[in-house]
Amino acid sequence: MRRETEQHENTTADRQKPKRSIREWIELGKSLFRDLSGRLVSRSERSSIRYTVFLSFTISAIVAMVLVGVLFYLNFSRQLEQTIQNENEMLVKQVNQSVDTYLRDMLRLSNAIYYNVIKNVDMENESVNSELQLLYGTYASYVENIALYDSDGNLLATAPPALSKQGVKVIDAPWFQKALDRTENLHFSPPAIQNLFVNAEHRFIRVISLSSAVEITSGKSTRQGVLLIDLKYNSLTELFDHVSLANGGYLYLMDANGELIYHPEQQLIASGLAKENNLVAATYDDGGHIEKFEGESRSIIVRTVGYTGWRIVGVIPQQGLVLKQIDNVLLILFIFLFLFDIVILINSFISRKLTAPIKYLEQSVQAVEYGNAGKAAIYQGGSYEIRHLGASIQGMVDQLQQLTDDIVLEHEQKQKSELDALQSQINPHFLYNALDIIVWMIEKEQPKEAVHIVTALARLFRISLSRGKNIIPVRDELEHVQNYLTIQKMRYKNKFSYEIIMEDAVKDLSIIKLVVQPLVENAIYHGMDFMDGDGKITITARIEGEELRLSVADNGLGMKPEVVERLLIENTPVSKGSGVGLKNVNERIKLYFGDQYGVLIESEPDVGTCITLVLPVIRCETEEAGNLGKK
Amino acid sequence: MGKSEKAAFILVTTILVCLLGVIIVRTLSARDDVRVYRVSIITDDVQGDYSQNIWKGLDRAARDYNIDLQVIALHSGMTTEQQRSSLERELEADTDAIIINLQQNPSLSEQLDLSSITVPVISLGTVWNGSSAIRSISTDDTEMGRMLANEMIHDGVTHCVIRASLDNARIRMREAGFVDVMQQQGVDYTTEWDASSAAWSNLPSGVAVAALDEPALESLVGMRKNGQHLLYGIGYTNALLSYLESGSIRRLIVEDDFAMGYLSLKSAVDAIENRNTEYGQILSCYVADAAHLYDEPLRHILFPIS
Repeated sequence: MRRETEQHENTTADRQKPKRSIREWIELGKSLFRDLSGRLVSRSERSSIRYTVFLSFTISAIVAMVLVGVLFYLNFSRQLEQTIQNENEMLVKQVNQSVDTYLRDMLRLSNAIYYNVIKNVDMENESVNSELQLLYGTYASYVENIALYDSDGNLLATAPPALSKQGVKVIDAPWFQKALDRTENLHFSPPAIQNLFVNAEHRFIRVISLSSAVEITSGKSTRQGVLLIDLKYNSLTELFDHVSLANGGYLYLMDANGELIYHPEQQLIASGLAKENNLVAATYDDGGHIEKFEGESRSIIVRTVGYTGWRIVGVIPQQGLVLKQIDNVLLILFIFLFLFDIVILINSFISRKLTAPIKYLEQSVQAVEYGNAGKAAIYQGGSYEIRHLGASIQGMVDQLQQLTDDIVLEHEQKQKSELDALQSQINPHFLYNALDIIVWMIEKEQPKEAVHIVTALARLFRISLSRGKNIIPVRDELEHVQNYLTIQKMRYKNKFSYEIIMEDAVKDLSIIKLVVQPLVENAIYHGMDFMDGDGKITITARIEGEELRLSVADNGLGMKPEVVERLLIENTPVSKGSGVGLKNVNERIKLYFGDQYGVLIESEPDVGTCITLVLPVIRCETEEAGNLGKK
Repeated sequence: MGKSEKAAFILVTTILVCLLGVIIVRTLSARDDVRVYRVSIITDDVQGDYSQNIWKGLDRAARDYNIDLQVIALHSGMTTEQQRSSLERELEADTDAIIINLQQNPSLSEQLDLSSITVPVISLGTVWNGSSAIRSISTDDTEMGRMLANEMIHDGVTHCVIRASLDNARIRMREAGFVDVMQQQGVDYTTEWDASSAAWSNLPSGVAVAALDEPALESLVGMRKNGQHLLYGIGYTNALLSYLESGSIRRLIVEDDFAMGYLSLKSAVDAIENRNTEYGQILSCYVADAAHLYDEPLRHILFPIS
């Protein structure tokens, strides 16, 4: 029960749910549009630019074609309908004019007979038969017969000559009565079978009677009579023959009451084999109308013929026009699809042409991405922007390649420099001399001195290796120099003395290994060799501002300025020592720390030389020092 | 071209080709809609007055329905056997339908073997009792006879003579209808098939004569003397209508020949197109007198617009 109740409540609630308002529909439409456009944008972002360009061009072309096509079709259809309508109305108007002209001609004939023949004749003494016969002969193609009656219905004259039928009461005929009732007018009667005259061939002729009241002169008196002109029915219907309106349309003629005078299917209508809406059409005003008859929509054009009140009705069925419109729609659809096919081809070609350079550029960049930059050039073709983009990317790739090469070169130089520096430490001459000293001391039974030399030598090599590190603390470098000097002082028989001054602050600062020892080596070989025990080498390590400065000063021979200038430029061959000059030290410092650092040389002949290494202040335990130490 | 572009191109091209096919089919079928039907009409009355309005109906229908009408005339000089052979020859010819209009000798149709005919056959004016496959457009001859009898009784005729020139099923049916009413009303009548002047001259004065066919009417009108006899008849020609108008003939029972001719061809087209399965159409008949000769519906029946 409860479930049923709940279902009932839900159903009731659904029924009571209010319908969406217009604002809600608008919001729904907006959200759908946003969703759709978002999907399209997302789709385009995942698609290639060529597909996006192709789709965009195609959609734009389709929209333009549809808009133009629809506008053209609507305009064309409207103009066509209007043209057809105008032509039909023109045709109806022309037929109207023809009928009007015909009727006026007959009116003129009637007036001519009256005023030119009857009025001028005294019927008591004269006859009008010959004149009537003459006029009849002139209008024989239109006129069946001409007859003149008096007011009692007696036949006075006729053309062509004929005998009246027995028993026919002319005064009872509608045409006779109308003529006498309204004597000022001429009267056209509806089509009827002519039954006034004896016809030996037993012909029954359909005629339209034109009757008018006339004054007949008879002696000295005048009396009323009736002039009858029976017009051949065919002479009127010929005006409608071969007249066809668009789409199987037709014309018909009716009187003011809607009774048919002429209809292309008049006999069928009379026999009940066809139908016409003439009685309704009689209520229409002149002009165009749309009606539905027997389930068919029709366009109706009505024109009133002057004087008689007759009406010409043009009928144009609409169904065939609709079917032809279907053919037109199919044709337009065919043309549209054909153009659409061409648009697809053109858009495919254009999109391919436009995006190919981008594609080639993208492939070039991909090659760079995969590390093949040096093997193929970046594509530089297509439009100006693509060429410019390609040139820019090529420039960046070249720069990148250059930087990579520089880094590799720098790395190689570093390795070479370190190798050279290391080689200098493995100089055989130095080792031989050191070992000689050791042997000499052993031979001299100076074991402590020998141990001291061996220890210094071992420590010298240990620091030289420094477990493969290129960056070591200043204290280690100066210890290395200390050991070197220990050995060299022994070798040079105490020709010189040395002093190492190191500030506490610089002990743990970073320095490239094996940069001070070559300076000391040069000081010994070029400065102390000629001293007799009063040579002095002072090594100081200090911080000046933000720089670490290590100086090796001697009081040796000094150098001329021009020699000083060449020291950092050429690899000055050295006759003694390791042969690794100041240039190597300077290059290594600049390679590691930048061009703003390096070697400063101050020398004065006969005074001495002071070579200072300018380095940045970097503590050994920082990441920067670690990176510097990496090979 | 990319995959999607190819797919779009192929799809649109396929629709284009299908559309072209539709347009071509519609164009060709529109042409096929204008079909010309070949219909043969076998008649024994091409020139006479008896079928004038029937021909007007036939001509109008031929124009309306695009019919190529072939006329095969059976002239009076042919023997019955020759006429039958001509009929059967035409029935075997290449035609879409056949109309049989035998006014003079309708009994000839009873001698035809139509069992092997495959095209539609329409009998004009005669109810074809021999085969249910034959369509017929006609009037009720028995009813015509009854109408004639009623008109004569209405005019106070107490005794009449029945005259006919043709002896066939239609005339017999008219006679049967006429006699039936006369018997019911207790009116005396005699039947004479001889329309000679001698027989006419033996008629008592003032007797009414009922002519069951046009030839009998025409001969009787010609022999009538000074309005002594009251002449009634079935059928019409223009001459007979003139006599009706002049009073020589008092009444005529007429049929809508134009509609009969028109409907026979329309029925032929319907039969060719398998549209209408109605096999027997009976049209109405009318009483014509001088007073209403030019009024509707007689005006359009007797004087159709061609």
